[in-house]
Amino acid sequence: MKARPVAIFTALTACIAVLLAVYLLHVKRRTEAIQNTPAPTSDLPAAPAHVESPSVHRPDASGAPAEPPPVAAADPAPPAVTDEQRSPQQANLLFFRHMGVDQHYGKVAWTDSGQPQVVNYVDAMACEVVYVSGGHGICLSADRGVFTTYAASLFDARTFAVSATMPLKGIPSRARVSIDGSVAAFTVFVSGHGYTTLDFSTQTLLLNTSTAAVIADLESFTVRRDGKVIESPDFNFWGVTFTPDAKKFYATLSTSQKHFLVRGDIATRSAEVIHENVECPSLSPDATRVAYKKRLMVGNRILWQLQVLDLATGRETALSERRSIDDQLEWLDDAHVLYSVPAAEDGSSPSTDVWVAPADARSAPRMYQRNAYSPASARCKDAEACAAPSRPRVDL
Amino acid sequence: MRVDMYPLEWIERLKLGRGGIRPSTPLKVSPVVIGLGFTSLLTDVSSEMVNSLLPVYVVLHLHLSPLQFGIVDGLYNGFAIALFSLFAGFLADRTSRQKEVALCGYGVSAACKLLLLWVGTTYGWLLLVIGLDRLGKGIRAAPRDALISLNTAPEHYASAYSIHRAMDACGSLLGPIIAFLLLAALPGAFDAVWITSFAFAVLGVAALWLFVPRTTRAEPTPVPSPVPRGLLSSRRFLAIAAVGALLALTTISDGFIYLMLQEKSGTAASYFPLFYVMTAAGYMIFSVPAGRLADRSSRSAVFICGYGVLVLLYALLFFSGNISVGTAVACLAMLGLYYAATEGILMALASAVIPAARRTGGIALIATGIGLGKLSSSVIFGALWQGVGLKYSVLIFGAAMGIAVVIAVTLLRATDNES
Repeated sequence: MKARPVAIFTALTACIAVLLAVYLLHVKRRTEAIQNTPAPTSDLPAAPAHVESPSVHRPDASGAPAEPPPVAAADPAPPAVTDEQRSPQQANLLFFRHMGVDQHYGKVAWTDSGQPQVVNYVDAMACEVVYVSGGHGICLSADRGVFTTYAASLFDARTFAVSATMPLKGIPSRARVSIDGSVAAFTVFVSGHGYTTLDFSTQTLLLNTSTAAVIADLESFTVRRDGKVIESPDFNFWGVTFTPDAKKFYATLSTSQKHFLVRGDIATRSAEVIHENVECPSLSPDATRVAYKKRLMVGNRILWQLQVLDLATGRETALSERRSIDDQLEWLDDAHVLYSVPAAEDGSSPSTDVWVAPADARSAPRMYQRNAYSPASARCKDAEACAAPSRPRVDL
Repeated sequence: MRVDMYPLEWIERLKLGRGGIRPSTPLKVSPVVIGLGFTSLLTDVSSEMVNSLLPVYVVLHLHLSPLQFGIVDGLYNGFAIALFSLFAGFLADRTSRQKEVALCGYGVSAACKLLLLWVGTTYGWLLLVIGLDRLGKGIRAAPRDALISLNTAPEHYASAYSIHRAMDACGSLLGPIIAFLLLAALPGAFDAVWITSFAFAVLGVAALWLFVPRTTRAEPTPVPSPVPRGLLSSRRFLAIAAVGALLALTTISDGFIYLMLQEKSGTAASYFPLFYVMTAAGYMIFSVPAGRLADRSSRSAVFICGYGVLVLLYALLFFSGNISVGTAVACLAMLGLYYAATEGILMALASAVIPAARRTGGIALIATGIGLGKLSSSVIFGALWQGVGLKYSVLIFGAAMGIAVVIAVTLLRATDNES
């Protein structure tokens, strides 16, 4: 009675330990295989950016949105020195987090719309969320140790040199930089209030990109609805998007189970509610429309429908994307939005792809960039800020 | 009288355990208690591995932005789980199958770890699995505690519970550490974490299966109705149940305390898991001394002192401005001490007045009262926080707890002589 259970338990423990070890070894091999996936040009001279030959599958350019429409067909070698008339300018660069399960997983990458099949990796920079605009970038990263900690870094979009780093209060979610590159914003999820419950709150901060100083926590803003000040400790802000002058912004304010679109003014530290049921707003480059996800309850499930709100008329247009999308949209240009979608619907793959949908819902969405997350279609006020990152010369 | 239907031994022992007459018999820990301790240790490693990583998993791996799914669901689920665990408790008593019911609860939670592999990106499914896991927890707690007391001499109840709780706390201390180390070694491999968690859970179930014999001490006395009317007519039992629920109602949930400590000490919020681990460490270290002291002197005195420590902690939080990291650690140790002096001790107090044949149901009833008290407390505290701010919410809860402690002392004293 005494010895037998102990013997059985020991045997069982040994069995499980062996099985577990085998499984963990298998996982270890898998992760190592990812890290060691041969990259054709990985032994280029030490430079912040690597050039890769096509590991990206681009959809055929059969439909209009598949290729970025405003791109000139000319050789883009010195990009974005053309069409100064447009404000803001389009850098014709797409920055994103590389999600391909290979040695560059989780690293920042960028493509030039002139050579969209060439993905440039910034191996020195691993980010959970990345955004670039006006020559300035922000990277929200995770440092996995005994306890995972998170940090936000500001960097130069051409050299990827980090100018400042600050610790974060929670898990990175969204990041944005204004078109002139002067202000950055980010949102983190703080899961503190109940350690064993899945209860989250958010923190959204505005940063000055040149001094790295915190301009404000959005929770300190005075919020008005129909002229009356509203306040509650259950205020949660997320998903900032800046106006082209970087003086105002739009964001989601969640309180009492409602999700408002607010327009904030940085100088006066105030915001007003302008619409309801808007999450993760994203202002179009021409500043006339806001693309966002709209929360719908279908049975017990929450689904997010992508929408575009015309700020002048208040008209909402549902986009042609039929899947539920949980992402902050990014305007590719004035007519198209980008967003990421999990590569496998069941979550079995850690990868996501970036898709493009027309803002007028006239045609179906398409895959835009495989193995990408957190897309940033870089814009700028002056040509210098739109210059492509430096990279080693490659003979094509 | 209904009480007379049961052997008088528990009343005799209760009398024996009072009035300064203290057992001189050396403490002999039943291997059953150690077995149950191992079960809890392994299960807690398993569940805390998952709990500590869920937020990161949801946000960074599934790329979901979850917010405020919490409170309404929590209330609804909490109530359902409370009802279910009561039913499980009475069923266990009626059939005298505490072990099987506990196995069922542990088994459900173990299966949930495996289910995590398949739920994928659907947040609703994920919540369902978490709910199921909690249900398993609800089912197993009362039969497990009943098994501890049924396999222990009444004069050693507090010691036995304290040993079990120390092992349990050890598991919840190790869980997050193992999870984070695993993820640091295998970046992004959440499946490895879930599988490891499942392996620990299976071992926990095996420990229960192999080391804990079926109940024999509780004679399967026919219980006429699932409602323990005999219990409900025992004033002492009612007093203990009321005291437990009342004190739980005025207790601020740990999450809020961590939040305050973090703000006052200026540590990064990403160290939250560390706060949790330190509380568990305090609980583990103080548990056995507190339990032995309770058996030697007075269980109710130690129990009340535990809440005294908590009132002190609230006062500290209210009156202090910024605190050093060292003070924050001391506060977490106090929180651990509070757990050590109250959680298992209350079960010991309760076990001493519940006849063996109704032990599981009685414990489930008390645990349900505490659970509902905690649930209401977090809702009330949240509302207060919105109304008067964090600092004054602490003051109000501190004052309420002061009153609750006075009521508890009165109730426990008044029923102390009851036979």
